Amino acid sequence: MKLRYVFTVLSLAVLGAACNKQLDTGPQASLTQIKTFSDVRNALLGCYAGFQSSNYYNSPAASGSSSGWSTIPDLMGDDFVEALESLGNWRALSEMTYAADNGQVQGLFSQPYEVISRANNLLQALPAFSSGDNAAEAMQIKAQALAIRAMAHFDLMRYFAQDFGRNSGQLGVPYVTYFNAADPFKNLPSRNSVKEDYDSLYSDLENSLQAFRDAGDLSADNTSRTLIDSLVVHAIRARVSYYAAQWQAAADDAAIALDLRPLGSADDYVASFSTQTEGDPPSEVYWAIPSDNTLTPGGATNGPNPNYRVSSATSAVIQGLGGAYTSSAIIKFNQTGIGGYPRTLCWKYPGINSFKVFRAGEMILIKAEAEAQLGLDGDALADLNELRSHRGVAAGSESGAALLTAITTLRRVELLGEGHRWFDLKRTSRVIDRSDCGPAGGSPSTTCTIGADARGWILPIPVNDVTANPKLAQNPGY
Amino acid sequence: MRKLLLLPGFFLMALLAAAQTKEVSGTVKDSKDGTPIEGATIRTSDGRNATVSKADGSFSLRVAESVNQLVVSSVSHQQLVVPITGSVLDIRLVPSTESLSEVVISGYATRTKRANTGSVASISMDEVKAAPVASFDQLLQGAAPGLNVKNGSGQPGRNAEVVIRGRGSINGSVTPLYIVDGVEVRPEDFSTMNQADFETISVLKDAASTAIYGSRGANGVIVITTKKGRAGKVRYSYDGQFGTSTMPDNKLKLMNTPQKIEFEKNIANNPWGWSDQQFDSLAKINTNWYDAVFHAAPTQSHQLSASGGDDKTTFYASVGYLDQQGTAVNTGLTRYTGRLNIAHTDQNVKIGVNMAGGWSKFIGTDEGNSGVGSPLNTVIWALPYETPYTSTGDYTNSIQFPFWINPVEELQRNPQTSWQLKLTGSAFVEYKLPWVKNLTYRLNTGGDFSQFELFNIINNGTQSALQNAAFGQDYRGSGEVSRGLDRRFRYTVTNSLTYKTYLDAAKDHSLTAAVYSEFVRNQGRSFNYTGYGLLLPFPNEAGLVAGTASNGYIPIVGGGFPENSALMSYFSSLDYGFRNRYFVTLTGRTDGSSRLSPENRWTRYGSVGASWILSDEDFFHADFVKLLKLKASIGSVGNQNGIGEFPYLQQYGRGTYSGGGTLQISRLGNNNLTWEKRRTINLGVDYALFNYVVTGSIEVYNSRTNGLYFSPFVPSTSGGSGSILSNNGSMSNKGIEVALGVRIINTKNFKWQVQANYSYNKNTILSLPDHQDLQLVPGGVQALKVGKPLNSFYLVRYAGVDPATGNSLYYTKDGKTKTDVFSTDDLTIVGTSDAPHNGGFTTTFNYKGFELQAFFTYSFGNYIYNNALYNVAYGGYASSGFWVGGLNAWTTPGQVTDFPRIDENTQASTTRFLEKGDFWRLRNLMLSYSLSQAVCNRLKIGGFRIFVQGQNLYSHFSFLGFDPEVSPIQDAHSSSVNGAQYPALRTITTGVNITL
Repeated sequence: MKLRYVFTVLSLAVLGAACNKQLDTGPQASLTQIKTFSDVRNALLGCYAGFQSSNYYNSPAASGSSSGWSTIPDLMGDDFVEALESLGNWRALSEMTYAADNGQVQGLFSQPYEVISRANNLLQALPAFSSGDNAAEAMQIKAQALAIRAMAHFDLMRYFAQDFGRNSGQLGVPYVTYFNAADPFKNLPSRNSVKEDYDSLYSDLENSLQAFRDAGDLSADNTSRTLIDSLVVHAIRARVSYYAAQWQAAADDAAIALDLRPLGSADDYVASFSTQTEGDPPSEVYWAIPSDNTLTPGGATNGPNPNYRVSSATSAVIQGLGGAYTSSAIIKFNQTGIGGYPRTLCWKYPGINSFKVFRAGEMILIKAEAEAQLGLDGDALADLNELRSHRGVAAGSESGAALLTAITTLRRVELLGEGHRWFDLKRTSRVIDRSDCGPAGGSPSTTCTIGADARGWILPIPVNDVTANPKLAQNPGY
Repeated sequence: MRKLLLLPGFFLMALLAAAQTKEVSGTVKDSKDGTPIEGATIRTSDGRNATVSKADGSFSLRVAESVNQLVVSSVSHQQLVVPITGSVLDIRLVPSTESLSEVVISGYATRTKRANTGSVASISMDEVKAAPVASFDQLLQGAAPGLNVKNGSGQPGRNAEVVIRGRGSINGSVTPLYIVDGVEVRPEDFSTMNQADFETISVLKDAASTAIYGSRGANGVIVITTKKGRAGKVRYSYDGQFGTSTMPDNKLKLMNTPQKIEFEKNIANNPWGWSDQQFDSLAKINTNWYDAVFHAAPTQSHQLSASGGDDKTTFYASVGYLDQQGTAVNTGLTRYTGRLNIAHTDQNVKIGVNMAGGWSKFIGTDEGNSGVGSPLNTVIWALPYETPYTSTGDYTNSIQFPFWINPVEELQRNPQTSWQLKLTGSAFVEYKLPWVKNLTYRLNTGGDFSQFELFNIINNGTQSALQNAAFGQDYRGSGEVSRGLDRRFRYTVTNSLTYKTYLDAAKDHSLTAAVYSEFVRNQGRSFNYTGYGLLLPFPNEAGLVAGTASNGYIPIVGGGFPENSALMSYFSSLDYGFRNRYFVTLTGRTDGSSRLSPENRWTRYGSVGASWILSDEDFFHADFVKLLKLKASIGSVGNQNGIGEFPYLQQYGRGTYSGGGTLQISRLGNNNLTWEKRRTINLGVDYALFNYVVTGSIEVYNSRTNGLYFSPFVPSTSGGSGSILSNNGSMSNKGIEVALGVRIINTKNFKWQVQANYSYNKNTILSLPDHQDLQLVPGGVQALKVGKPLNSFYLVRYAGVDPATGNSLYYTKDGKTKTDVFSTDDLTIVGTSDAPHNGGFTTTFNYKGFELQAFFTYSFGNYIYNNALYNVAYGGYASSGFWVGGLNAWTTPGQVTDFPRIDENTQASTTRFLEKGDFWRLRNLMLSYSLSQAVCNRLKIGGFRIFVQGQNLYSHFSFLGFDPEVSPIQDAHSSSVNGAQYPALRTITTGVNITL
């Protein structure tokens, strides 16, 4: 009969006991709220980590993801050729035949906004730390978040904006400055005009610089050059002004950047790609996306069977220039490949590597071109020859149109494989003429010429986004 | 359990009456196969005398001279009244699958089939257990109406996808709940459980049946009980079989060497740039890569079991062994299982323990991807003019490297091995409270432990390692080893009080009332690492060298918490019956889930069901109708499965940037997230006609899911790829289910019976939240559209090839105009991947000891997107192994063909790659012979059966691939064949069952 009591107690206790506490479980491998300043620091690095995506600067080769700002722009332009080795995975991009449902295009549209939302979320969390011991560092973090936000918006404009005029009323991209984790379907933006985008870009970049002025620049903590300091903000602004044809502003910012970190020697140029010591002067690297033992920005351009090779025309130009540009550490000529086509391979990012987003070489080219556009041929030639001398290339004495041509040619060579060519074409001639195309040219891409009227020069807004947010106007032709 | 329930007074009377008694003896046997029935109760019609049959079915009973009828009953068989026509009786009982006295096990409670008001399908384990498959759920296909089962993969040990009565959720789980002896089991774990230990399977389909499971049962429940011990002499059994599996044909025909050379030369513009001389030498090689990768594989299984006990304690014990080699070389499953079930009754207390353990070793290969390293892809993309081996016996390198690696080397040298340890146990105590009559307390506790260890190796020097290096990951070029452990434990504690009584002396009103509380806790932990630099000659961790900054061999570690949830429930049920003819069942339940925010985590729901045995009414006079039962139910259940552990919380995931830690938004929060609810109305008829020659049921249902779990596409501008889970929108599933069994011929020596079932389910999305009335399914070729079924394809309709230009033509939105410009404006809903029509058909012939049974399954009305076809018809891949259809590619103006010019940029999102998924197949064909009882008795054995059977001997379909059954291994929505298809096995085995 003892059992009787045991069971009575057991049954009543277990039947009746409300164990609400038992249901309070929580995640053990993810955070639900930014609480401490250490969380803020990690969240800032989280913004940067968005650039390591294979949609952004990483290029994981075979997977076919877009790697939109590292090597794809060279392939979409005329400096790289999609090789037979690629299996045709990038045909839609290299032939510019993407439609609004293209997954690679979706990646190009989503990833910068992913970075932007992280930056906005961080900016919204920062005011809680604006006083106290960490106030100065919080201000520096704000400066970086603003620059990151501007950078990502600018990269979106490069693909999706309808043009690049500083005061253009054409459609740019939505410039997003808020983040609402609880209701992502509220307050959906429409596309800003290109002018509005520029206004916001300049404002964010100026506020970033102001914050650095107020709180002091990053210094000791940016020896590896993986963070954005005021030098990088000037470089970003120089590039923005360059696209907007704001020549004086471009030249000014480029000059400030070059002042802070000038060109390196021909050897330094080569070394900056083959090692990961970009942080140590005399390296001319301003901002590098670190590899963290995973990033392979050159995954599609080097190795024994690369997906892209340098076009024969561009290869000839490089060989004509000589100097550091033909160093076997960064370019390999006359490699054998499938189908017996002689190949030139860009070898700037072998294996696991960081990606160099800004370098002094780009700045001096921006400065030179801006000066030429402003009619300051003498200054422009001096800058051009300065770059040539730092690359072991013979000096010249061009002027006028020839000078501009010399600058843009050197720009192609200096920045080969660094994600500029297609944007440069889009800003200028909008004509692609490929000599190596189709099976006869050793490429699965069969489109040999693309004219200025091709719809592909402006990427489509992904169909999912247009459906979810009907305020987003589609680009023409899609 | 089968004790004599005689009151002392009757003993006395029996003794007094002894003078006028007679001895009656005989045997009780199964009417179907003549096997003796042990433990059947034989009692006199006056209720004064009774006995129980022995193991050989025999009994003897002394009865009063005046008694002229015996009532024979058995749990497993239908009760029978037998006239005493002599002193030796041969009694044949009809198995209870055809009987209303059959017990319907609906998890917490058991009811007779007569009293059941809900929709429950019982599957006879005898019919399916001998099939040589490693994962039990594969056997459910076609076995009962309302089940849509897709096997999809022939990889030994892979589980099937089971959907009951259509998909009720978009982003939540649609997997039914599996309960084995009261303990939840994940379907992935069936590969480490022995289905030969299973005794009954009940499929609970409507709300009246599943409401008692609350949120766990929203997608239906499959309740399994394992074999219990039988009192009496210990019975030993051996079941064993041997056989061979082979690969079915692939309807996706690939070019052989002459075709490929013709194709490359004349159609594909010589993509490799071969010279004529090279072409001539390639023409001498013609490799069938399937021969190198697939082979006939042996399979065998053995099981020993023992069952016995006395009237207080019974036990069942078994050990099993299964070795199933895969048809792809160096793949397979080896499994060892054991089970011990014990039950003990002592006065008011009944206790029992069920314990089972299993240990499996799998060697597998990747499936369901389009990766360039997967052997099941590279076997298709291989060039017929290359060989697997060089003249010196090494693995051949291909011109296609690194986009192709030798599949034979990959399977042989870089196996993916895993081991699973699975332990389940449950224990119960039942106590009839002595001071309250008819009140029983029961405590049931169960634990389910599963540990999965994975070991992958890429050996130094293999093409796979070189491929990784070629793609820029130098540190992977010298091989790697990775190992992971995933450990999960779930425990369930259920308390219940059950009160069972009659409300009146005449026993017209029966009542069962029960209250329950239950707590389920899931916990899981995992870790994994990958080490690089496999420079030493050991195929394990010992082969690794230490990582340095210069060699880059820095290991990667990972891990997490795959499960961390808790569910608290209180529920009750009330069963009322009147005159054993009218029945009502009420259920109510409240659930609290840790997966939802504290404000939204509790919910309530319930069900009501009623049934009426119309044929028992006095006014019912149709004599040919032996049984007519009407039933109806309505109820709702919630769902919180498949939504992750903390879907309502905004979360930051972890990462690394520049050697520092990062936190980045991984999930957008939704504090309003609440329960998805599915409400079902069910109407049904059970019938038996012409003296049980024709039996069956018809059911119709209408279910509606509200608060649909739905991961809407988050606008990029609101957080890029951050996902969010919301519940908005609704969906309906309507359907009809028909089951029919006919005993066409039922003579003593020859019997022929057929059983058939058919289900139709119509799914419709009724509403979706703001701006999402049309949404592309991420990464896929499907869209969600209001008014259309879930998993509808959203493609541009392909209109053939323009003979003038060789361009693909597409229909524009209007469906009439043809254009050669592919535009997303022309995307159209073109059909669903979920087959609305499903079913099975069994025909069985018996002649004396012989039985021939054929089991067919069928499914039709759906489409499949064939990504595997796309990958061998995509113009850019003309240099790889190619579909024979490419020989018809357009080359000259005016040519009428269905394959566009090869240098066109092939568009994927078109109906060109959409195919019908209709199929029927002979799932199982079995011929068996059982020794008659007389011979067995002479041999002093309990029974002997020998059989030969074939699985998947014939399949009829038009889909261009191995198999039109697509499981989630291929695609989360089971809608497309992604690639790397492991063909379903065609297995022929022969075996014996011996009982001593």
